[in-house]
Amino acid sequence: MSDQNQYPELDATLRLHHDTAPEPDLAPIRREVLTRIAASDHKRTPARKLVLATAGLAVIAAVTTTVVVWPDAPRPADVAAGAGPGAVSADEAAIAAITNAADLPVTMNLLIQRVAKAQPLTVAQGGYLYTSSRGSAVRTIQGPDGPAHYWSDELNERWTSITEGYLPKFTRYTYNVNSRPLSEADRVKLVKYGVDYAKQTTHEEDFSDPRRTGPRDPTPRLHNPTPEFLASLPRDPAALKALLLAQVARADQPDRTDYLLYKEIIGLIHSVDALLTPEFRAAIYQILAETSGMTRIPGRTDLAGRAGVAVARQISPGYQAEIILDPDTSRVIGSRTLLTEDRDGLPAGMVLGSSTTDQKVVTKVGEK
Amino acid sequence: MRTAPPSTSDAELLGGTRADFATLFDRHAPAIHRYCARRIGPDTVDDVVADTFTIAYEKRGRFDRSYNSALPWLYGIATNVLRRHWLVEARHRRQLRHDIDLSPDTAEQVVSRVDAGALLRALSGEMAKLSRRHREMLHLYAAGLAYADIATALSVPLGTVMSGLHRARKRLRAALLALGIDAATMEDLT
Repeated sequence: MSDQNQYPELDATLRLHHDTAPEPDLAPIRREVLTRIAASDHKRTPARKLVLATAGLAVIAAVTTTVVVWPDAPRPADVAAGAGPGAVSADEAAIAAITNAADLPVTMNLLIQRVAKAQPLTVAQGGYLYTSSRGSAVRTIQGPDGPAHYWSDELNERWTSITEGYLPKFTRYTYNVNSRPLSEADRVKLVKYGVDYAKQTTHEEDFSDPRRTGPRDPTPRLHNPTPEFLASLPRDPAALKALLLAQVARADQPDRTDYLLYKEIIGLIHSVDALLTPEFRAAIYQILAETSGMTRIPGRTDLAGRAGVAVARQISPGYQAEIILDPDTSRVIGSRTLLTEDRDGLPAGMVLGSSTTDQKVVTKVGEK
Repeated sequence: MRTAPPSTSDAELLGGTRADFATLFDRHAPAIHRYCARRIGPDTVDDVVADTFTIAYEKRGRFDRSYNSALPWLYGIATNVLRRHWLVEARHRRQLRHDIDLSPDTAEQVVSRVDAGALLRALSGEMAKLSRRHREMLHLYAAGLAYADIATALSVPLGTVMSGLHRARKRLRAALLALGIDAATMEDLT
């Protein structure tokens, strides 16, 4: 199948895209590489195999560390043991029931009964929605002594105009927050490789200049929702599902329909969770409960010190995404991604990344 | 490849001293950096390039000296390193999608207002929606690699590259067309 001349204008655009990458400063990278390979040459002794074996152990130690950060969810029986009959309030009993629920439909139905506790934020005309997300992920640096791993947090802040939708007015991304090696062995290697893992950087972007941002459609829609737009959507789960399917379903990929539906719902929840009315939240949770491929992770799942229940879906072979829901308020606490198969020297079950999101209404961009 | 034939072969440099390896770095690092920068964004790219050349040095004995250029081999190493940074790449792609936000219902508006910058942002956004394998092929193709070199870099059969690139470009072209960016628009702006 030779089609190298079939799309000449697309090929030209692809080359332009590649060629217009920013000019790098290669000198520091060159120095870094030469330092590393010099160190590598000095390491070429009969003890090298032992060094590599130690690096392998470091990965295992890193995994152990990760499991400590997010310990295995307790079994339902463990949770129930802490809530004896007659000793709990109705709220506590309801939360325990959600935590102990065995499958996805039961969990979602119980959560739907509590959506009234998740009232949308009161929005004022001309106000802004401030969204703050904190994420953590494992980063891996390769070097002559093998991979070195460290956890790194990043803080994403976003200000959007409530009346105009979710397209950003201003964003601020702060990287390498609270970076820490997974183990002492990782720390030693990172220092040796010259990786300044503790160096925090901030990237700000102002979207007020249309010449920088390019054309952006201001029309309220699913990818740019306003409270008015959300209020215009159906509350009936079947009608809402039909509307969402009309947006996401692709005739050429019928087997991906439920996955695309899931992505659309998760994207909506993540962007404007604080603006969802109880009725709308109940409808989308009902749709999620009926979407194929979704599963309930048994028991309680802790995320950044907040307890929740997790619903999960495989997003690609070996990788599972989880949405963590608050059994008290029914709101989304955050998400995390785990390995379900061994990958790149990391074992199945390892948490690769997580994030929590908070939203509030402010009066101007920059306020929080 | 678009680069001029060097006087000392890549195989000779890989079999030489650290200074020779530095020459190899000078020869190919700009291309590798451009490829990685397009894949992963500015915050991690330097680490990825440094990792790529460090690994290349460690594994230089495995380079097939029947090849004139080490560039496809280096692209292959870089691709593997990038896969280890998939979370960062996913964040970069999400950022691209957020920043672009061109959707089919704005097609008519886009046609009238699109410029080269918007075209490239749209291309980035649509490439971000493709499968990882298709993205890898397209980035390597955009870097000027021949089909056979892409197959070498990705360690896949030539036929896989040919069919994959055909599907990826067809899908990409259709996606851009849905945004109101047709062949004539691309031709005008490139």
